[in-house]
Amino acid sequence: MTETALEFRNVTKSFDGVPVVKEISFRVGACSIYGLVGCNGAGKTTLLKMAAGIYKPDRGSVLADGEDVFDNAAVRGRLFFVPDDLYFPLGATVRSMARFYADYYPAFQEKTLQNILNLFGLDSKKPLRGFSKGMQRQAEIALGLSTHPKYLLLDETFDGLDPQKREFVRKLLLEYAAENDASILIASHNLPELANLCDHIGLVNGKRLTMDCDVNDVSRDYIKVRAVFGAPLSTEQLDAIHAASRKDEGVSATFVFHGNYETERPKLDALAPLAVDEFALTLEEIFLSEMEDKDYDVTKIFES
Amino acid sequence: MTSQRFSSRKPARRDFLRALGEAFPFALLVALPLIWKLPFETSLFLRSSETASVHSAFGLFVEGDVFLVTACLVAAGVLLALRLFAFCFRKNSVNVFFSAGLLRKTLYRNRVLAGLLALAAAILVPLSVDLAMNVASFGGSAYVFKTFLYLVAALFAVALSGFSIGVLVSTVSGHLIEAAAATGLITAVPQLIVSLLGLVDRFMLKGNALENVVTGTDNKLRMLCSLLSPYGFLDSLGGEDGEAALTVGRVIDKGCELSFTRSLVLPVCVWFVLGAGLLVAGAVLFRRRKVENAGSVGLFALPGNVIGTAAFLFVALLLSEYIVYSYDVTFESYDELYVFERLFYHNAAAIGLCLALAGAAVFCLVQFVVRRNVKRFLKTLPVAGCLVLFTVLAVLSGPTGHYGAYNRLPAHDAIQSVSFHNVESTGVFTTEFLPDYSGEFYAFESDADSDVQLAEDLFTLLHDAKPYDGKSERTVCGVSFRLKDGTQVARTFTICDRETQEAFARKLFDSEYMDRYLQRRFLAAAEAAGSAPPESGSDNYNEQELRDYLNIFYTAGDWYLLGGDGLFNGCRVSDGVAGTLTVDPDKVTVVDDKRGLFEALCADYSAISYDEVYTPADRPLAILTCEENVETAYSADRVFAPDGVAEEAAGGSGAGHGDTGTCGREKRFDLTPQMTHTLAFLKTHGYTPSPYDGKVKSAFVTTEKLSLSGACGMIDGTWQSGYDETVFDAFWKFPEGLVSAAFVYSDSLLPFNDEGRMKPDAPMTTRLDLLKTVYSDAGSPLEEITDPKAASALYARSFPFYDTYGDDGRYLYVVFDDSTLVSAYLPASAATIS
Repeated sequence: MTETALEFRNVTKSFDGVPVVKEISFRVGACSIYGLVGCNGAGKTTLLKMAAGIYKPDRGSVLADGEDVFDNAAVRGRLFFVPDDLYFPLGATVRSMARFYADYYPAFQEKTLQNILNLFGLDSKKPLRGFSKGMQRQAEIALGLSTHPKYLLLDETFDGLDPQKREFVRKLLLEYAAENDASILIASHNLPELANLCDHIGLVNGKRLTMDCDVNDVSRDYIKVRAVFGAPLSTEQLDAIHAASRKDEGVSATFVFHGNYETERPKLDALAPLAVDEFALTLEEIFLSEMEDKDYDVTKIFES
Repeated sequence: MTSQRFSSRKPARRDFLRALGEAFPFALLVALPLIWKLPFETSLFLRSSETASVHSAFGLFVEGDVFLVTACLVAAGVLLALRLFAFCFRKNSVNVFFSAGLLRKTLYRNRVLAGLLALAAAILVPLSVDLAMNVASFGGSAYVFKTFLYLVAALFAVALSGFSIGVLVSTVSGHLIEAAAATGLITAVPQLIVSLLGLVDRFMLKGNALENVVTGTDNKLRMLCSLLSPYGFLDSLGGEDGEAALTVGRVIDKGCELSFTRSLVLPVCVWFVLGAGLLVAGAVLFRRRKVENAGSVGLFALPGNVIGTAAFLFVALLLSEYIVYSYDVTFESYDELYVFERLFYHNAAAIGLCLALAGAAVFCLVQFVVRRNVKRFLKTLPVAGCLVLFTVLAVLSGPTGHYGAYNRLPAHDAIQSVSFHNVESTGVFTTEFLPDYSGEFYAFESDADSDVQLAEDLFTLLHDAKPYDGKSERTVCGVSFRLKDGTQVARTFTICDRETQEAFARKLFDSEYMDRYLQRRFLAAAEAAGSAPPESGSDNYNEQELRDYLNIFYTAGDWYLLGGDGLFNGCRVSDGVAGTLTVDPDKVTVVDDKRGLFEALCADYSAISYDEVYTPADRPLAILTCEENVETAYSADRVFAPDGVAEEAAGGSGAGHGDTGTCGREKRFDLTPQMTHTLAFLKTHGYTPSPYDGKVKSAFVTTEKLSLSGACGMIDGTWQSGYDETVFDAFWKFPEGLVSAAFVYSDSLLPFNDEGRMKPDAPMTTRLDLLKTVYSDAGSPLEEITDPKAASALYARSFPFYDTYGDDGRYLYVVFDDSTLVSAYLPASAATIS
């Protein structure tokens, strides 16, 4: 990782006594795009809001270039948060919102805004509430990027965007981070998008950060192996192979190994498989394999 | 599109300007009630030719609607605060503002400053315009400018109270509706508590009930209210010493300015400190604010219940007060008190019960809707039960004075001063010397220990008297106590037994209180004698009103000494036997030294007893009366010319209460031989009463004993008293009064046209013939005594008025040889005709 720009240090946050995130620590480097993934309610937005200085962590701290973000005007002046729930006052237009953000963000650049609006094809004079959800999100991204933040925090940015605009946004963010040496922290469910955008991924699961790794490394660490045997094996035989996950399918079994495939392969070979196929995992498969509650059996739900 | 130059500005400054932009439109809410009450109404006031001469600096504002304006200011302050901190109540705006490059304290400071500036401008502008208008009209003075500054400070403090509470609530609340409701309740809570205490004090402890008026507010409660309640803040203007400040034109007077200042300084200072404290607390809480509660409610759940219950109780008490108030109005509107009195007791109980049940039902419904859970709802039933009980107690206590409040004599040590009043009488006493009662004006307050003791004795006397039965004659009289806590409790009783009525009057008249009271009346009259009466609207007009209420024998005109046949023409007025004053101008003597006359009268009335005044053994030697009475007699329409003697009658004036020359406002004195000081004074000044030398020719006596249900009398061509049902109805139905009544009774006998005036060509009749006809038609013809000796003997046993001699005697009409007709009363013991 490059030089640290944003750092979460043992951050814990509870709402009404119910913990949302526990002891989470990770770093976002300068000129880096960090993707936060996790199931619904995992605490991704809470982490983003703590990074934006909106929420104060119950314990721990969020640092930007070594300074605590919470109630720090200097840091927050260099930070922009694009939330999932956008704020557009009644009758607001891109123009009026630009004036608004210009008041609060000294680095606001009109030219940047205009360029992005041209790219998206948005009219700055039309009321934002008349825009579609995707257009509103495009406008907010444009406004956010026009403030030239050093830290850009994005929550579900790709929701509602059509494929073309997703690509625009992806390229914009990549370009912005590279050109401005900015740090981008993005929370999303869209794993393929994150895979193409982020250089780092963090998985929030069970209120904790269960995975924090480089996107390029993660594919190397995970491997899926499908083995076919001459006859069905007993559970004891299969349990002898330590895999991150396993799926039994009669005479065949599918294993996901996380960094221990080399040590477990001899055990597999000892069971005399007829065939062994190795596959690279997609980010989504890795995400699912790391989730705590997996293999829901939904086949009997609708039985009468 | 935004230009580059915007981006170079400082966020804190830009945020402040944005807050100002949001605040000023809402500041109009603050300004509107002030514009309405100050420049607008002042301009109307100044344009009025009638009032333009009155110095009115800010008087219109202070005069009325103080509570309304105060409430508007508080509400506007609250709304302004909620508007400025509205961004705290939505998740999306929280995201933007709390992640922007501003410290929380900067966000807070900018909005508070913007709000305060907007409030200041909204108050200063209308007041400055009003100041300019006042200065332009009346010229500048130190008092005007002082008043201006005090008002600015007071109004700002009022608005600040609402604003600061609104800000404080906004810093912790998560939802706009929750914040608005919580702020409204929090601002109202002190008022609710104080009102609750006040109502309990008035209704339950002091018995503000039927005929028991408790006025004023306990000093401590008033102070508490002005200190703690934003809404009750400016009520201190109408406080103990603020009475004058409420009067138009008095605000800028030096004396009033002092009380005005005194009543405002403490609450203003307290609220400035309190407001500042709330804003500081808000700053601390805003920095610690957990913005994650944005958009959610529930923060004030527990206080909300408490406040809701308090609000419910307040409404219940308010309703009971409204009932009392509305029924009091009913009483004021009708003379036939007893009819409504009966209805009232039944209705009050029924309404009270209905209100209690309705209130409990509403409470249960609201609780059920809010809780949506049967078990939780059932837990609230005991609360509803308590509310019902409390409402029933409050409602019943209010109108009926139950629980002993009505019967309770204030504690001796709590009494500051006492006064006595006599509201009305249906012909039992002539009350010209008893203190009159009108509205909140009490005749004469005394703090002497002996008078306090007298008040306690009279209270006991009246309280133990026979309850009013709604039928017979009655007297409404009472005792009022001004308590040391600033309230005044008037205990009024309707009594109908003669013994109690007479005992009340006798004790009062023979008391030291009465001596002091008469001294004040006579000496004040002496001081006023000779000076011109104040004109309506002038500075001294209020003083004149006060004198009237004090029943001062004041008149700018002359006082006359009547002797000879003037004695008979001026029979004392009463409901039973009354004579309208008719004066022959050639037979009156003008008394020049009015001051000396009043001093002499004062000395006499202080010295002689109740019996010597009201049941004198001797006929009066002379009558002193004032120009007003004489003028009244001469300006009236000519009605009769009996026996060729030119006489004038006060047509239509009647003998009802309240007219000149009637009870309570009588301006005449019968000079009996016991009034040695006055007689000596008159003798010294060369005024010697001339005895009447007419000879009794004949007499007429009513054949039945007088009874209130059947007798009627007619003197000088007008009905003096009509207890016959037909005449009674006619008497009250026609505004023309007694003449019309006579016309309705028997138009064939009287020379009147349809307007109650004399027909030009109608045959003239004598007053005596008229009397005979009326009594004959009433089924009780007069019995004539033709023997002059017998008639003279009867006359010797008669009295000029009947009230204090009983009500079972007869009327006597005596005819003298010069055709003078005199009415008199024969007590039962003296009514035997031999």
